[in-house]
Amino acid sequence: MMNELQRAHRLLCSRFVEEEPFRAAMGATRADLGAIATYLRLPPDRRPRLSPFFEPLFYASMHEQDIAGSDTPVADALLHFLSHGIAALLAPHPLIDPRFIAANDPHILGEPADADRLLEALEFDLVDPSPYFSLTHYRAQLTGPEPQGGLLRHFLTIGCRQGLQPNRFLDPAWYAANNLDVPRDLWGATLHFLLVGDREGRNPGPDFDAKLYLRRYPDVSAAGFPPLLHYLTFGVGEQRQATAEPAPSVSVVPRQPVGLRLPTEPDAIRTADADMRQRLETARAARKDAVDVERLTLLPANDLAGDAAALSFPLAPTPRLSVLIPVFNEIDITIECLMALKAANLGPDVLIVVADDASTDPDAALLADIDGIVLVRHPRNLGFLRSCNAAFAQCRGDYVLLLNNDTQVRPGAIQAMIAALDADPGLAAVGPKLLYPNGRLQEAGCFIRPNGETGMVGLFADPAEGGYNRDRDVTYCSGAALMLRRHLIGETLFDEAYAPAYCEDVDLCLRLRAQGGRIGYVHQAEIVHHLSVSTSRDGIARRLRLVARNQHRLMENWGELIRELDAIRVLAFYLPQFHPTPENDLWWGAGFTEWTNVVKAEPSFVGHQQPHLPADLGFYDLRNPDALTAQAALAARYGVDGLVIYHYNFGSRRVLHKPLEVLLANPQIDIGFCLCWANENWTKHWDGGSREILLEQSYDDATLEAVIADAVRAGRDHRAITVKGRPLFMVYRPLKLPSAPDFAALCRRRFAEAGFPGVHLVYVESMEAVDARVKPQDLGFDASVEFPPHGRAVPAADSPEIIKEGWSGYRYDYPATVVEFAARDSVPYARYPAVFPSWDNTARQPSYGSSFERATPAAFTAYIEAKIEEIRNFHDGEERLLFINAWNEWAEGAHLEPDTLHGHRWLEALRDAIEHKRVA
Amino acid sequence: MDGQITFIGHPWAPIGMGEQLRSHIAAARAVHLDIAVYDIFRYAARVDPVHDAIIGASEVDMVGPGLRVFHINGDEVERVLEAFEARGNVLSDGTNIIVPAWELPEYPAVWAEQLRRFDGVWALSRFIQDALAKSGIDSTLIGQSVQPALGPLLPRRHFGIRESAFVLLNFFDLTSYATRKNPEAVIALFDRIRAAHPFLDVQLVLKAKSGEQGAEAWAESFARGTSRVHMITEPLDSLGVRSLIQACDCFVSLHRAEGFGRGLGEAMALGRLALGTGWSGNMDFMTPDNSLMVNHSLVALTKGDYPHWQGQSWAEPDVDHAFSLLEPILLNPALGRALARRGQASVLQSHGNRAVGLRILDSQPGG
Repeated sequence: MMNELQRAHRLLCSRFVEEEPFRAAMGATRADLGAIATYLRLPPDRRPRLSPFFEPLFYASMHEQDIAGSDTPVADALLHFLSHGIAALLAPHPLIDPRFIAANDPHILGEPADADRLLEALEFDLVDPSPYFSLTHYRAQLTGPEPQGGLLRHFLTIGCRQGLQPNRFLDPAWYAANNLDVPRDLWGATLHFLLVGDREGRNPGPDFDAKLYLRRYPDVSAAGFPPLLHYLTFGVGEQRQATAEPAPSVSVVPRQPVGLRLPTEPDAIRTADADMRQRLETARAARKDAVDVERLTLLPANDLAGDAAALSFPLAPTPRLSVLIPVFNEIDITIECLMALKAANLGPDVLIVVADDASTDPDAALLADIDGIVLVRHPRNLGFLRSCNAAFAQCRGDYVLLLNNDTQVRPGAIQAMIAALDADPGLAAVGPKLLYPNGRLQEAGCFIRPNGETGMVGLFADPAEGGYNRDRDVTYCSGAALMLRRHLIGETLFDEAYAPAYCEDVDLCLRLRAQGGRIGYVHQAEIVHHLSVSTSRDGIARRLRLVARNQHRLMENWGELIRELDAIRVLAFYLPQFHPTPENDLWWGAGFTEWTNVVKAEPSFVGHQQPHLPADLGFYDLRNPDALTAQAALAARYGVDGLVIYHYNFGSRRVLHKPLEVLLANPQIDIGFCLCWANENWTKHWDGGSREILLEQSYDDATLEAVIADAVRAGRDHRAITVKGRPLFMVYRPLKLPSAPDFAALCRRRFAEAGFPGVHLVYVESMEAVDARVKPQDLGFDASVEFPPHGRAVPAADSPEIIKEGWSGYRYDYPATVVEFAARDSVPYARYPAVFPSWDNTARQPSYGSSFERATPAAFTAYIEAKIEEIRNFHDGEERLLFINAWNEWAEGAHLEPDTLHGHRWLEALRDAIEHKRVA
Repeated sequence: MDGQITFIGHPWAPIGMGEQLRSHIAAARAVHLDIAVYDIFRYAARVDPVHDAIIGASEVDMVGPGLRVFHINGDEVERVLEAFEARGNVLSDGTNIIVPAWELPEYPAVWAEQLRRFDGVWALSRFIQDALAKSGIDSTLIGQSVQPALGPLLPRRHFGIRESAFVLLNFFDLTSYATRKNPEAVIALFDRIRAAHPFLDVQLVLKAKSGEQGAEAWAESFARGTSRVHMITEPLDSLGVRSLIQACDCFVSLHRAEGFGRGLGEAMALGRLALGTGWSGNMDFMTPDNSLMVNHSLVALTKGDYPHWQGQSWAEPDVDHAFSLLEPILLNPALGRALARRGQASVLQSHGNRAVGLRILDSQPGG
């Protein structure tokens, strides 16, 4: 008991406790142990209040569990607070929140927090004591000298009863007058709001509409947060709206961008990342499940000996092609493989070489009965790689087909591969479409990741899907069925460093590529491959270790080439507006630029981010080379290799061409570029349509010649983007051309005349070309490019509160739209992928603009990575291009350039994706 | 090799010994070894999701036979082996390897005696291998992996770093032997940059060792109230550290000695430019072709510089040379990015998970 008394004595002598009320109630000072003992004997509710900053009933009810759980036997709230509560940052009073104080300044209360430091902070107004009490606001209401003992003390003792407000929104008199169940006295009303009213979502005064706040910010209502407390604690910093009425549509004060600053906390980023990746994976899995193919009919060997004996091939004296089949046991499927070759009617120019790697299966003897093949039987088991090497010497002719024994060639396959090599001397090797016996695609060529891991294009997909049905160059084809030009190989087929097996075929193809050869995929050549797998766990681990070792070796030998083969180039659409022109001066008023529209945009609904205002680069003027220099530096820093500059040529008149002239005149500005002829009408509606035309796109010969001349001139620049040595030139709306093929032919003629090896013509799949699946070849073009979000935007499911009068625009969902673009079917022609960071044309269409919700940098990163995987699967060499819509479409809300709200985050997201894919 | 390999030590600790152990787990997984993990003292808090992803289900309560790899230091051998056996494990049941860390040219003889209780020693770098050899200990060079985990990253804004700036990052440690990491040289380098290019947008970010007392005051002493030196003192988990490195343009370490130099290696693996004293452990992965290597002179340690300082020497980096290496890159960052790309490729090839895993395989009979 003595200890407890001494402890209470010590605690009550804290500065936080006030002497005067103690003496008044107990008739003695705190120095008197007897008075302390008397105090402790009083029932708790009869004990005097010893500090204006401590509300015993509030404390006891708020922290009931903490008090019950503590080891102090003292049934006194104040003593509990002094001995335990302050260290645990428990609130002693409805207007004092130690957690809030510590969150703003971790050191101010001491470590651990103590009551004297708290008192000091309150008496000297070092910090707002609670979100509900603003020192700044309170001080502004005072007229006399600064009160002694701190502003909160003043409020609690005098100010509240005088009608002063603890913060901008809480008006106790208004609150009492507007709520019948609230105490009439001002402090009582204040307490009621703090303890009850805010939790119930009542309005604290005329300037804060709690219900509106909760409607606008469903996250707050979902979390059950008292709305005013939320706004004062977080909402202010997050730029949430607290006004009671919708913002006036014409504003004379400078406006801040509206919308939510994207969170940077790990949990939020992990969630956004996981959500986007999960959606993409779900869509991918669904596509795989949806594949509906029939099992293939294969040749069965029912009677091995009979089937073998029935086989005979013409032993060609001077074959064009040797087929090299390595065998170790599995004699039945080997015989099936040979039966399929027989059925393929290869003619007399083919030599079949079977390398038996000392099979232990007695049936291996049957191979000797087959007529017209060269059988090489190794005296001892050499392993797959050395077995092939040993038998390679027996091969003759121009071509060698390496063919696994667990394959069956389909009619015409070998002929198609021969034809491909015959037709294109640049091809060093070709591979077929490999199919699983169940009818699914196994491989339409292969790619190599920058860590040496490999992937099969189209694994488990529907072999009828477009992208697998065009011939194209690939990184390599697997050795299961690979047709090579024999003279390029030399004496040794596979590098024996890779023995016993794995990656030897990759190494071989890289050897050919390093010599300048290309590897081709021949889609009409179909070969069924069983792709046998070992099943024992130990066996799998051993095999995977061999694979890992040889992948490491591949990187050791070919690392630089592998990275080069996997490299992509990122090109961003670039709007050469942002400078005054005579045309715009006339139509829209002197000094008009894109910025004119951008800055006057207003939010259409709650949470809508508008206007988008430029940050790092400012309101630039593209007549100034410094502006382009800064853009180029920013682009290079984050991995954008080039700009696709829209080009406007109406025959008699070029418009917005000055930025290009600046670029051409300043060769030190280090950025690649190409032109995209934006061949559409200029209208009052910014829509390229035919209403209220300002400048009409004409297609007479003079115009076409002028456009092509511009492209040729741009192509001559040392920074011109080329594909296989040919300048890239794009057309925005090819279907508007009177004859696209004629235009393309003219282009090719003019570029050839200018001394180029050609031109790489790409059309944009926008407007009428979206999903039209127009083959570029049919237009005389080489490829097309996606143009998201056009054509596949998915409407947003929610409906927010509209705050712009007369608004009837469209809202779309970013993640759902990304899935639409990422999971679309591939096409049987070269279609370059493109991505968009966000999109919102409210600046151009205030009343019926379209915007995308829930775009996040994390989702953008996942989107780009999915598109880079698409490039790995469908594009090779210099055709590995990724487009971005856009670099600086400020009036369409599609800009990588930093804005005041999100800063560099879209650029960082782009770089993150590129860097993730640079290593795996 | 067949059979299980158990990594023993402080797998959950957010310190170097934990990092090297976890890097070996990832390396062994990359070559499909059957692994187990054993936490010897179980005092480190298990809060880092990245650690959990690495260790997770592989943690065991008892250590089986096979290969045991102890990631512990020479001075804790006694305590660790005592605890190991006290918890019912039998040392002689398997083949025991120790992987000690050390930062000076000669391994302390008194600890070398402790290493002899093991069947073998793996060296984390050639520098450590040489130091061990000087004390008569043969070791196998395994190194450690610096390959980062994949996954989302936190943006510059999360750390309050200027988005527009060219950012130099330094990790420092003011505890016991601050002189080894030599943050003062980084400050001197930054002062040189500011003097030469007062308006160049360069920011120095200093990351204090987790929860370090006094770091802010120390930083204040030279930051002189500018926003161009940004101090990070709150503890970071794996995601935070990886993101912070990725958020910088150049990782700077003007150390006097490093056993391995993980920070530099991780920065290179993330594709960031590394600038470091051209001496000690980091020479295993830094070359003039893949990073910026700073000239130095060797100086003898004096009392109090480091434990077992007698007769040892370490490097005094040449700040002028560091500045001359960095300046052209500040003026043309593309040069730095190209160098960093080469650095990334080479460090992943020599110190990626697979590379280290293959060295582990090769160290065992039957590979």
